[in-house]
Amino acid sequence: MAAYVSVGNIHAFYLAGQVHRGQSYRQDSWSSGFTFRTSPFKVPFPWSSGVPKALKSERCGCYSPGVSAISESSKPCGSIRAVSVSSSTKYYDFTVIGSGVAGLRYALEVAKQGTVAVITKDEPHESNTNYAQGGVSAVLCPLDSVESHMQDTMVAGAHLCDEETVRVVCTEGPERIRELIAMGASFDHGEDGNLHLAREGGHSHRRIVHAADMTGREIERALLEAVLNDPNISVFKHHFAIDLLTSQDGLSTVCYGVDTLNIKKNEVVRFLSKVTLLASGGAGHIYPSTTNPLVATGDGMAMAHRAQAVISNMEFVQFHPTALADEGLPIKPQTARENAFLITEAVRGDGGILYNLGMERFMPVYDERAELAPRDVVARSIDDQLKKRKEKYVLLDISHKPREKILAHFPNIASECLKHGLDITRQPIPVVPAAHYMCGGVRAALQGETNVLGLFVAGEVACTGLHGANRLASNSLLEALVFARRAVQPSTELMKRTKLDLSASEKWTRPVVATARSLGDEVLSKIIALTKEVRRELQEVMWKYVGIVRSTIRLNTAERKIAELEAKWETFLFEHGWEQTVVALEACEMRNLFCCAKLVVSSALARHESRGLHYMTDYPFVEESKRIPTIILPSSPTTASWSSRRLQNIRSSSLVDC
Amino acid sequence: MATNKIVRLIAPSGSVSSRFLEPVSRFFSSGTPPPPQAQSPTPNQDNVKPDQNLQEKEEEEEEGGEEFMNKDTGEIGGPRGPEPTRYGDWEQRGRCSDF
Repeated sequence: MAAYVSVGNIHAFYLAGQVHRGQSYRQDSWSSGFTFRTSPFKVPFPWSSGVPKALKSERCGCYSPGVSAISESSKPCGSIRAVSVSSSTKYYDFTVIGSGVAGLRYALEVAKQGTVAVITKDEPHESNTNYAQGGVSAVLCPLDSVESHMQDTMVAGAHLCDEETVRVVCTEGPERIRELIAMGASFDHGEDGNLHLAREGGHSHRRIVHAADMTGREIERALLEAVLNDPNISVFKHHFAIDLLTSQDGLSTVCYGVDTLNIKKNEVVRFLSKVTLLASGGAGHIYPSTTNPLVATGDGMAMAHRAQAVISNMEFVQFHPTALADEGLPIKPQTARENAFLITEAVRGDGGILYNLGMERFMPVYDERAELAPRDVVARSIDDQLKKRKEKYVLLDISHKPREKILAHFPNIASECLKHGLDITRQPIPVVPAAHYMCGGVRAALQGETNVLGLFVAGEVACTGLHGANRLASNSLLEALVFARRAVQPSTELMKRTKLDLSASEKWTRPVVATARSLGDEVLSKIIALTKEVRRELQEVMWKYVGIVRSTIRLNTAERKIAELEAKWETFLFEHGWEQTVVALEACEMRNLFCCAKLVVSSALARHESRGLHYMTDYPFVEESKRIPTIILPSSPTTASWSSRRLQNIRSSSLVDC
Repeated sequence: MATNKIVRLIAPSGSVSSRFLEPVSRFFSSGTPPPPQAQSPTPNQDNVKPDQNLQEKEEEEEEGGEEFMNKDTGEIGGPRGPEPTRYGDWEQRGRCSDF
C-alpha cells in the first residue's frame, strides 16, 4: 500500500473516494507475521541469566501452531523487564515519544501490561498540552447530545472530517474525562456539584470542561504525577528523538524503536521496543510567530515521513488572527518571545478596531461584520493587508474605550504591553497572526495505527480525521485522550505477539554526536550559527508564501525557495565535515522543520479549492468533488535530501558478531 | 519527590507565569472595582479597596481560588471577571489561550 514514488520529491495527491479506515492493508500486514529474528540468546549479554522465562518461551498467540495460547490470567507473553545492555541501548515493551496528554495517558494504560519508556526532549511538562489553557470538550450535560457535538465538529471541519472518527471521539469523550477525574485532575464544578461546562465558539451546547483557566496544565500535572509514581514507566527527559528504527518486511515497514540524543550527556541512546507511540505534538515553529513552545518543531511528523508513514492534510494550519507583534512594541523584548501572546477576540467584541499602518480601517472592505467577522475571515483579511502593504503587523485599537473598562477586562494585555512601553488605553496594540495548531499529521486509523507496523500515533501529531479542515475549539485535548486510549488495545495485542530480537540492536548504524573534537570548534559554532539563521529564513519564507492567504504562484515560489535554502544549508554542513549519521540538536530540529515545511507546501499545492483553513486566491471556493483528504506518500530514498531520509542505514550484514 | 515536581510545574516561568502570578497584573486588576460577579462571599474580601492590591494578592494566594464562586454561573473555583468564553475563544484577563 505504501507505494514508493519514483520521483524523488514528495508527491501529494488525493485518496480518491471514501477515506479508508483500519481495514484492508493494515490487517493484511498483521497476518504476514513479524520477522524479529528469533536468535535464541546466543549473544552473551551480562544480564541474560536474569531474563524472565517468558522471553525464552515460544511465541504465543497465532503464529506458533504447536504452542497453546497463553491464558489471560497468566503473565503477559513476552513482557520484558526494562534492561540496558549498555547505557546506549535500552529495551522496553513500549516506547512513547512525547510527554503531553496523549503520550502520558497512553503510557499509564500500557504500563499495566509491560514496561514503558517515555521519551521527551525537554522537561516532561514542556509540551503543547501544558499551554492549552482552554478546556476539553465532551458531552456531559443531559441536554446535550453526541449528535450535536458531532455536528458542530463536522461543520467546523468544513465537512472534511471522517464521520466515523468524529462519532467515536464524541462518544468516548465523556468516559475519558471521568477517567481523568478519577486520576486526580480537578476541574471546576458548579454549586450543584456537577462539572461546570463552558460554551466556546462553534459549540451549540455548553460542553467545555475546564480547570479555571489552566486546563491543559492541570491535566498534565495529574497525568505526570501518576506517571512518575508508576514503577513500570521510565521517563527519559532531555532525550531528543532522532529517527525511528524500521525495516522492510515484504511490502510492510515495521518499526522497532527509536534513536535518541541525550542532550545533557551528548550521547546517542537507542530504544528498542515492540510498540512505539508517536505523540510528539505540533510544528508551530515552521512559522515565525506561533503560540507553540520551542519544542514544537514537527519532529514526529518528520520522523514518521522518513519512516515511510503516510502523512495527511498538512495544509490545514490554524492561525489566530491577533497575536501581540513584538516588532511593533516601543521597547522590544530582549530575548525573542518563545510563544506568542494571543490577544483575545473579546477586545474586538468590546469595540476594538483594526487598522493597517496607514491608519486605515480595513475590515469593512472584507466583510460587512467588520471586526466581528468570524476569526478565519479576520485572519485572512489581516494577512491580505500585510502582504499587499508589505508590512509586519497591523494595529488593534481599543483606546477609544473608557480606561477603567480596558484595565478591568484586559489586565494581562495591559501589563504585558506596559512592560514594553505601550499603554493600550492610549495607543493601538500591534498584532500579527500566529500559527497555533496543525490539523494534519501522520495518518491514523481508528485505533491510532499507522501504515507502519508497530507505530501508533495520538494527539496533534496525528491526523485522525476528527478535525477535517479546521479544528473545533477544545477538541484537541479530547482527540489526544480518546486516541491515546484507543491505541492501547491493539498495542497490547501486538506487544504480546511480538518477541523482540535483542541481538538486533546493531542492525542499524548508529548516529554519531557532532562534537567540537570531531568537527573543530570553529566549524561547529559556524554550523550552529548558520542553522539559527536558516531557521529564521525558513520561517520567513513560510509566513510570506505559505501563510493564511495562499496562491499557486506563491506556493511554487515557496517550494523553490525552501529547496534552495535546504540545499544551501546541507551543502555547508557536508562541506565542513558533517556526515549522514552525524547529529546535533539544532541540526536535527532544522531537518525536521524543513521536512514539515515541505509537507505543508506540497499539501497546499495539491488542494485546488478553498476549504476551512486552506484558502487559495486562485481557487477561492469550496468544491464538493474535492472534499477528500490530502495524502502524502513516502518519498524515494535515493534522491531525497538529508531531511527526507532516515539517518540510520541497515547494515549489509545483519548478523551480529558475538 | 512527586510534590517537588508539581511545584516546579506550577512555579512561574517566563511568559506563562505572567498570566497568573505577576504582581503587575494584580496591580491593574485591583485598581478598579471588581465587576459584581467577582465578589466572593468570603469575609476576607469585604473591604477590597483599589490601593489594597497587596492584601488582595495575599488573599488570592491563601484561598487558592478554591472557595470563589461565580454568582452568575454558580461555578466554583473558576476564573474571576467576565465569562472567558463570551466571545467564542478562551480568554483570561485579555489573553487568549485557545479558540
